[in-house]
Amino acid sequence: MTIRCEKVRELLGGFHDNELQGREFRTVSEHLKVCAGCAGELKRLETMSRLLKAHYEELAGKEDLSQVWSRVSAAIETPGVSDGREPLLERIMKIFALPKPAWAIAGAVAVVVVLMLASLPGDHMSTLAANDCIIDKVDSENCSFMLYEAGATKMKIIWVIDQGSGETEQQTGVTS
Amino acid sequence: MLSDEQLIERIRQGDTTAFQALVEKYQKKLYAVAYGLLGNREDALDSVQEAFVKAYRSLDRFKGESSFYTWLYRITVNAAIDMGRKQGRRDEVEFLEEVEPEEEKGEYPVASSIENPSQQLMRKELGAMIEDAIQQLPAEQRTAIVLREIEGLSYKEIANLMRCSEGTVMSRLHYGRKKLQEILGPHVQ
Amino acid sequence: MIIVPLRKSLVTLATVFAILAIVFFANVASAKDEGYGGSARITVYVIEASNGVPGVDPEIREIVEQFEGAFRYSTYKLVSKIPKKVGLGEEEKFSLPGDRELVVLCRGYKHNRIKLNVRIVEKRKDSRELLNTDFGIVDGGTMIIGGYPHRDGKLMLAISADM
Repeated sequence: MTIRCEKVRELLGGFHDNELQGREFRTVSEHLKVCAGCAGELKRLETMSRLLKAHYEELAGKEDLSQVWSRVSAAIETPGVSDGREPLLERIMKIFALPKPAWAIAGAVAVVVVLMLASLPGDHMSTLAANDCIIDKVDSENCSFMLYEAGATKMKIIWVIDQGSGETEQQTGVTS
Repeated sequence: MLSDEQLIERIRQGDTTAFQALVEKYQKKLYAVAYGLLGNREDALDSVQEAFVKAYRSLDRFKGESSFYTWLYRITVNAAIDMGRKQGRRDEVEFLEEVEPEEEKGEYPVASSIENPSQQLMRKELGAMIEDAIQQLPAEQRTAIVLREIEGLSYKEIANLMRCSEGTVMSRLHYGRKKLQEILGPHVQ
Repeated sequence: MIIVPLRKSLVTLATVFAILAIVFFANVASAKDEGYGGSARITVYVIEASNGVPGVDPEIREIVEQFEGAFRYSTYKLVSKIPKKVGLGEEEKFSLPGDRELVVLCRGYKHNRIKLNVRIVEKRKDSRELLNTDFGIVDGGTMIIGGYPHRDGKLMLAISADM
């Protein structure tokens, strides 16, 4: 391999990526016409690029991504987590700010009735899902997390998605 | 079919099905990059999901100066790198907010269904080798390779994302590819 | 002309009705809260979720079935099951893998829910609080806290509460 080959090979990636211009581009393209070694190297670069792209595209094509939306929608609709949209209270206030007071009163009465019915002793529990849970607060010094609700039993999930520097994988000895 | 801008307008009016349409449109592309950066499907899916949630929650801040996909892409790459960093890789790579990826290139190709079992096995083994090789690269080289090879970003875009010069990008790609060739050996001959 | 008096009477009627309802509701609620026995049974299932050989420990199958769709793990292994009684206003500690512990404080029973404060803290000297959450869970309900790296997968804590 000549000194020129060494120089060209440093630029070969840029040539392959269409990132070379002017003199560098001309140097490489002219050298490739006369050097089978560097031309072969370019071919290998092309093969590898093709393999990498094809592999990751195929992976993505095969992955069942149908869960992405269900999990995203659960996360963005979980109460108590800011979604950057109009706060719930304001939305409720808007309902009671309807132009017709009678409707507002009727709404208020309906709410009271529902509350009364809900508070009656008896089989009121049957109106709640098996895992009904209201999360009032989640704080963490060093982790971020997401909230989900899974399945018909409305099981709440607090999922830690990244952790601070103090967390280590090897801290796994079971102590209980 | 509605454009991204039309869908975003609908989302802003409270129509979450419009956001679902955007998620379904871009999830494959984003997953491919996240997988390349993180090396496993669980973290890749988590970071894609996190990116969509972040995008939804900060949609008010999206001013339409760049395409929605550009913006979403930036969030995803940052989420993936952040996740990789927090989960022990301690990557030194940090990202700026400015990057303009190439236009989307349409649907992903579907793997050929006429391969025989041994071809499928070879393909599977090669895939595992590729993933293993990518994960062996230092963080900066891996990031540059993934952004270039899978997503097709220009050197300028990668440089913006990685807070380095285009020359550094070229150098990282050069050494990254060299190492990949060493690991993958005969498969790239 | 008739609308104004009608509105007035409606407002009055609604106000009276609302006051009565609130008094009634408060009585029922407080009666229910008083019925609280003073302690809750908390069971913490420490689960390792991973993508090893597919399978679910029989003891946690019922729990896993309820959240399975939300995750992509193939293996759910019960690492430990820790039942404890937590008195009202008291704290109980549950040891977790990785030198951490789960601290559960029982705050009472309100609106059909057992109110708990749950913290995950590191046990070492300069211990940090990894998570602090308040929630109210229905009697017999289970909730999950998870996502902490553990061996080849993630740690999940299924917290069940009943009275």
